[in-house]
Amino acid sequence: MFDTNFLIQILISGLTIGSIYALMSAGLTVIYGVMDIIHAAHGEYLMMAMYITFFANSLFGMDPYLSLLLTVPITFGIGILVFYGLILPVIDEAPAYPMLVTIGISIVLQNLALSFFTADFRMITLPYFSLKLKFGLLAITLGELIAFAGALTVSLGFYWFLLKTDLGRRIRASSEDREGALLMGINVRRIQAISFGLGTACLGITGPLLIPIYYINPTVGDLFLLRAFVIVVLGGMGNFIGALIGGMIIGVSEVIGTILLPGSLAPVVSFTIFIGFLLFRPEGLFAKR
Amino acid sequence: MEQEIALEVTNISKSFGGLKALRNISFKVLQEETVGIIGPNGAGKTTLFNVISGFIKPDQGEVIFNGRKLVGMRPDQICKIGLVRTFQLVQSFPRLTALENVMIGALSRHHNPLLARQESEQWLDFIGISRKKWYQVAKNLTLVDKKRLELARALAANPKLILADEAMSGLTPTEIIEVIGTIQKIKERGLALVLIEHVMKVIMELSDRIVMLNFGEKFIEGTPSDIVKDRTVAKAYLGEDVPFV
Amino acid sequence: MKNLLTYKTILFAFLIVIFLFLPRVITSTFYIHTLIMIFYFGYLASCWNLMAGYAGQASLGHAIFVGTGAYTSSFLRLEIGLSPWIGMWIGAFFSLILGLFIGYLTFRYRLKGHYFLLATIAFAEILKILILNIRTLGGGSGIAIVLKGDPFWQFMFTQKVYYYYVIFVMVIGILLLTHFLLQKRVGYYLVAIRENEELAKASGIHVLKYKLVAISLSAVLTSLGGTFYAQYICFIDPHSTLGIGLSVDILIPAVVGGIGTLFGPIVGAFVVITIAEVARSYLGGGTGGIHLTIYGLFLIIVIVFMRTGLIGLLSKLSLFKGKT
Repeated sequence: MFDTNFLIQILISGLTIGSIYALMSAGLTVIYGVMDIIHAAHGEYLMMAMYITFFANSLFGMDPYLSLLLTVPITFGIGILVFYGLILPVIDEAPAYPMLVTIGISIVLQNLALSFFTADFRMITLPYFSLKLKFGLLAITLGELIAFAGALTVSLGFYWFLLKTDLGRRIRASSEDREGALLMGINVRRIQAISFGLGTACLGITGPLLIPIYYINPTVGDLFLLRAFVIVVLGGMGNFIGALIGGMIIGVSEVIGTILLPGSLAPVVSFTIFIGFLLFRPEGLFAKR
Repeated sequence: MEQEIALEVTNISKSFGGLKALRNISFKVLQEETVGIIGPNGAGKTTLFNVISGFIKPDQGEVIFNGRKLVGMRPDQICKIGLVRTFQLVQSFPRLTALENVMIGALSRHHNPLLARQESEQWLDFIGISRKKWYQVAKNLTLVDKKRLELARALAANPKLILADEAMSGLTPTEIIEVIGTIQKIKERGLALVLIEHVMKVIMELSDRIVMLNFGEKFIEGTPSDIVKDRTVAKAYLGEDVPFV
Repeated sequence: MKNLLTYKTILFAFLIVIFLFLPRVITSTFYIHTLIMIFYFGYLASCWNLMAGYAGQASLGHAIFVGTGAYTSSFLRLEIGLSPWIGMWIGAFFSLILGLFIGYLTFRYRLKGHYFLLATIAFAEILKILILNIRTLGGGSGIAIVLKGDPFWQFMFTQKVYYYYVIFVMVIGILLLTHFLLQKRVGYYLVAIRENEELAKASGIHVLKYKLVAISLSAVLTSLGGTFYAQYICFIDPHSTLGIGLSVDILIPAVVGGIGTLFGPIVGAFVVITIAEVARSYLGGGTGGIHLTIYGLFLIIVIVFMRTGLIGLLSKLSLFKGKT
C-alpha cells in the first residue's frame, strides 16, 4: 500500500505546504522576537495579499507572480502604518493589550473582506499552474514547485539577511536585549517598525505563491494563522530557524495525519501538543536561540 | 543577658547556570539586632535576600527563623510567620491607594478588612505619611513616600524581622536622614533588621554588626568599628590599597 | 467618600427600577431581544471581568465555560429530561472542575501574559473539536432544544419577556456578588495579585490559591450563562458556544466599558451591541459582516485611545470616582 512513489508524493506535498508555513511563521517569529507581540492579525495580511492578487488578475489580467510587485510593498507599507498608528501607543502596556489590538484589526479586516467580497471561494486557475513536471520518481506541478522554491528561497534569504547584514544584526540585537540595543545606539523603535513591516511583507510574498494551490476566502488567514502559532511555539518563540524547521515538520505531519487519522480529530492532537509545549517547554524543540 | 537567635543562615549556596552566586554563606541575627550587609555590586546580597524570603531555592544550606526551617517554604508562608522583606527597586500596588497598599499587608494578620483598615491607618501615621496622601494612588507618590509606604506595608504584616534591600537608594541626603529616623523607630519596637546598604553612613549608624559579601562569599564580619579599620574591606570595594577614611 | 457611595447606590437602584419596568413600555420583540442580548453579553463580560479585570488573568478561551454549561444542561435535558434549572448547576460543577484543571496547569507552570492567552485559546479549541466529533452531543449539527413538558420547569418561556427578567436578575446578581467580593479580603487579594504579583507573594498572599478561586468563580458563573443561552436561543452548536469568536465577543464589552470596573462590562455591552445592531439594520447585514466590524473597531479604538474604557473616561470627567 505504501509504495515509494506514494510516500515521495506525500513528502513533496508536505514540504511544499511546509515551506509556506515556514515563511509565514518566520514573519510571526520576527514580530514576536523583536516586540513580544502576538500578532493575531498576521493571517489577514495573507488574505489581503491573495485578494490583491486576485483582483489584479481578474480586473487587469495581471499574472499572479507579477503581483508580488504590488503585494510586497503594500503589505510592508500597511504593516509599518499599523505599527506606528495602532501598536506603538500600547506597546509598553501589559502584553495583552497589543494582542487585543491585533485581534481587533483581524476582526475588522476579515469582516470588511466578508462584506465587500462575500464568503465565496475564489480561485485563479491558469494553465501553467498545473503543468506537471517529472524528476525521476517525483511528480510535481509547476505551481507547487514555484511555491516551494519561492518560499524556501525567501525564508533562507531572510535568515541570511538577519545573520549577515547590518540591519539584520540590529534586528537581532533588538530582539535579544532591548535595553542593550538602546545603549548601543540602535533606534529600537525604528527597528521594531521595520521588523513589523518585514513580518507582514512575508505574507505579501506568500500570498501570490499560494494562489495556484489554495483558494481565496476571507477566513483563509485564520486557517494558516492557527498553524503558524503552533509552529512558532514548537520552534521556540523567537527562534527563527526553529520556525523554519517547525514549518516543514508541521507541513509534512499534517499531510501524513490526514491519511492516517480519520475525521477532523487531527487538530486536537496539534493543540494538545501545543499546550504541552507552552507549559513544559516554551523554548520549543530547539533550545538554542 | 543571652539573646536568642532570630535568624540563622547556614551554609547557603546557590548557582545560576555556571555562575556561583552564593558560596557557603553563614551568619546569625539575634533578636532585636540590626545586621548590615555590605559588598560590591554583584556580590550576591539581593540573591541572599531572595533565598531567605523564599523567592529562590538554594542549592544547599538551611535558613532557620524562630525555630522554623524556611527553605522550601513559599514567600507568602514566610511572610506569615513573621519575616518580611522589601525590594531593591521599590515595589507597590500601583493603582491602589496608599491606604489600600498598607491594608494588603495588614490583611495577612486580620481577615476583616475593617480591622485591617484601622491597623493600616495607625501604621501610616507611625511611618509619617500625611492623611491627605492616604487616598492617593501609590504610583503617584514621591519616591521617599513610596519607600515609606513599603515599610508601612511591611510593618502592617506584624513581622519580627525585616529584610530591607537598599532602602536608601535614590534618596537625597535629607530624605536619607528622615528614613534613618524611621528605621530607628522601627528598631525601638523590638524588631530585628537585616539591611542591605551601599550608603556607609547609614550602615554605620544603624547596624549592631556588619557582614560583608564579596563574589558570593562571606568576606568579613564584625562590628562597625572593626570593619572601618579593616584595610581589606577598602581594597575589595575600590580594588586598590587605599586608606579607608 | 460616604456621600459618593450613596450617590452611586441611588443611581443603581434607579436604573434597576427603570429596567424592571422597561418591558411594559417597549413591547417590540426585536427590542426585547436586543436588550436580552445586551444583558447576556454584559453578564458574560462581567464574569470574564472577575478573572481578567480583578485578578489580572485575561483569558481568550472563556467560551469553554459557556459551552460546558450549555452542553451539559442541554444533554441532560435531552437524555433524561432533567430540568435545566438543575442541569445548569451540574454544568457549573463541570465548569468548576475544568476551570480548576486549566487554572492549575497554567498557573502552576507560570504561564503569564500572552502565553496564558494562547493556552486558553487552545483549550477552548480542543473542547470544540472534541464535541464536533461526538455524535451523541450533536456533533457539527448541534442540539436543538425543543419544548417538552411544563414550560417553567423546563426553563422555557413562551414570551421573550420572561427571559429578559431571568437574565436581568443574573446581571444584578453578578454585580452584587462582585461588589461584595471587593469588600472582603478575597477581593483585596485578587486586586493585589493583578497589580503586582511578586509583591503580593511577599505580602503573605498565596497567589496560586487565589488565582484558582478567581478562575473557579468565573467558570461557574459563566457556565450558568451558557445554560441561559441554550434555553433562550433553543439551539446550540460548537461554533456558537465554544468558538474563539464567542470568547472575543465576551471580552469586547468588558474592554470597551472598562476592565476592572464594576459597571464597565455592562456599559460596554450596551454601547457596543446597540451601535452594532443599529449598524446592522441600516447597512444591511451580510453574514455578520458589518456588525462584527464595529466590534473590532471598538476594540481597537478603546485600547489605543482610552485604555481605561468608557468608565475610565467618565471618571476622568469626575462623574464617577470609584475605588479601582
